[in-house]
Amino acid sequence: MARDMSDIDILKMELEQLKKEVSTPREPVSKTSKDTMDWCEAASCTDLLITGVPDDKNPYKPEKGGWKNIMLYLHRNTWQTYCSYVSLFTGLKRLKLERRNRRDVH
Amino acid sequence: MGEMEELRKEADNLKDQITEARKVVQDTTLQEAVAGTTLVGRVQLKTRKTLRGHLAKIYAMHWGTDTNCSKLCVSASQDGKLIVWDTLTTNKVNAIPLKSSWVMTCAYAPSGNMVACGGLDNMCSIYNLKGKDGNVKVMRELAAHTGYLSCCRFLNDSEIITSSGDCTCILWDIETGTEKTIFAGHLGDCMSLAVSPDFKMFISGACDFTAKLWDIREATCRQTFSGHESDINAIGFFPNGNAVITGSDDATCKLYDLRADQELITYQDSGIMCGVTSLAASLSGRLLLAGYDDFNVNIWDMLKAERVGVLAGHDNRVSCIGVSSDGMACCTGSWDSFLKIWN
Repeated sequence: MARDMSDIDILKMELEQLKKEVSTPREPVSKTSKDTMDWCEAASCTDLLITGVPDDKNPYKPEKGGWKNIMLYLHRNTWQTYCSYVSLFTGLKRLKLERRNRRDVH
Repeated sequence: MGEMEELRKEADNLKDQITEARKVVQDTTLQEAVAGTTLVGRVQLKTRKTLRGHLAKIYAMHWGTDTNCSKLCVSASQDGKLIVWDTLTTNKVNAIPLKSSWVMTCAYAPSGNMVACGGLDNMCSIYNLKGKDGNVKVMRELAAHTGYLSCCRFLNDSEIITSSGDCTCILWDIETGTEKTIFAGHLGDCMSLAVSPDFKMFISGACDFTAKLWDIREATCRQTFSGHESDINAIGFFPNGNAVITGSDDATCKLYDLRADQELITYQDSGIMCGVTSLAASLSGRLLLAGYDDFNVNIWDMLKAERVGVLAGHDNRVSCIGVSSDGMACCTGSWDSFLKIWN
C-alpha cells in the first residue's frame, strides 16, 4: 500500500498516526522495568532452559544403553555408503559402454 | 511543495513532542533497575535431536501449542515441502507438497488442526491436518496481498494474520477466505509479526526500521517503536505481553516496553557484526535466543544484556528458531536443511 501512495499521502498518513501517538499514556520506566524484572525472576525458577532438565525426566535424551541408536546409525550409514557405491559403479559402467560404442561407430 | 514542507514540519514537531514525553517518564534505565540482580549462569544446551528430511534451505518453523501437539512442530523449506515433525521420535507426521516452492513462512494453529504457509506466491495457503479421509489438503488460499508473504500467525481456527512485502498486514476470515482488516502504516516491507499472549494485539517489524503495535479489534496502530538502524527481521512478545523484542540487520536486538512506550535495552556485542535472522524468548523471558547470519545462535540474559551461551552446530545461516510451549526445548532451523532440538 505504501508503495502505491504518493509522497504527500504517505506524509499525511504518518501525520495522522503521530497525532494519535502523542497522547499515548506512558508509565514511568522505574515502575515498568521493576514489574518486568519481578515477573522474570519469579518465572526463572521454572524455566527449563535455565534450570536444565534432569536426564531421567528429559524426553529428548536418548535411552540408556543406546544399542538401538548405535545399530540405527550404523545401518543408516552403511546403507547410504552402499547406495553411493552402487550409483558410482553403475555410472562408471555406463561411461565405459558409451566410450566403447563411440569407438565401434568410428 | 509548500504543503509538503508544512506537513513535514508538523510531523517533525510531533516526533519531538513524543521524544520529550518519553524522556519525561524515563526516570531510570533497565540497567540501573537490574543492578542488584545476578547474571544467569552459563547456559549450555546440547543438540538432542536432528530432524533430517528437507532437501533445501529451511526458511521457517513453528511449534504446536495445544497439549496434544506440544512436541510437534512444522517446518517449511524451499524444496517445496511443509513437514510436521514429532520431535521426540524425529518421525515425519505429515509431509505436505506445496504448489509453490518459494515458501518463506509457516504457522501451526493453536488447536493443532491446521497449518499455514506462504511466500513469493503472495498467498497464504491453509492446510487442514485433520481431514476426514486422513489426507492433508489445501483448505483455503488467501490471496489479496500484492507482495510476498513474510509471516503468518493463527489467532484461532477461523482467523489468521499475515504480514507482507507490500507493507501491510491483513487479518483474514478463514471460512470465507476474505480480508477482515487491513493494517496499513508501515513504509517498508513487513518482515515479521507476533501475536500477544492475550490475542488482543499484534506487533509487526518492517524494513522501515520500525516496529508497530496494532490493536486487532480496533484495527489501529497504537504505538510505533524506532531505534534500529536497519531492517527488522524478527520480532516477538515478552512472555508477559508487556514488552516487545526485535532483531535487526544492524546486528542488534532491542527490548521495547509497551507501557513506557520506549526502548529499554539493546543486546549488542562488538564481536557480532552480522544480522539477526530470528529470535525467541524462553518461557520466563529471562533468556533471549537469537539466530544470526554467522550460523550461530546467541543466548542473552534479557535483564543484564550479556551473552550467556552460544548454540553452534549449523553449517549455514540459522533462519528460524522457536521455544516449545512447555519451555522444555528450543528448535533451530537452518539453510543447511536441518532442524535441531536443543535443551
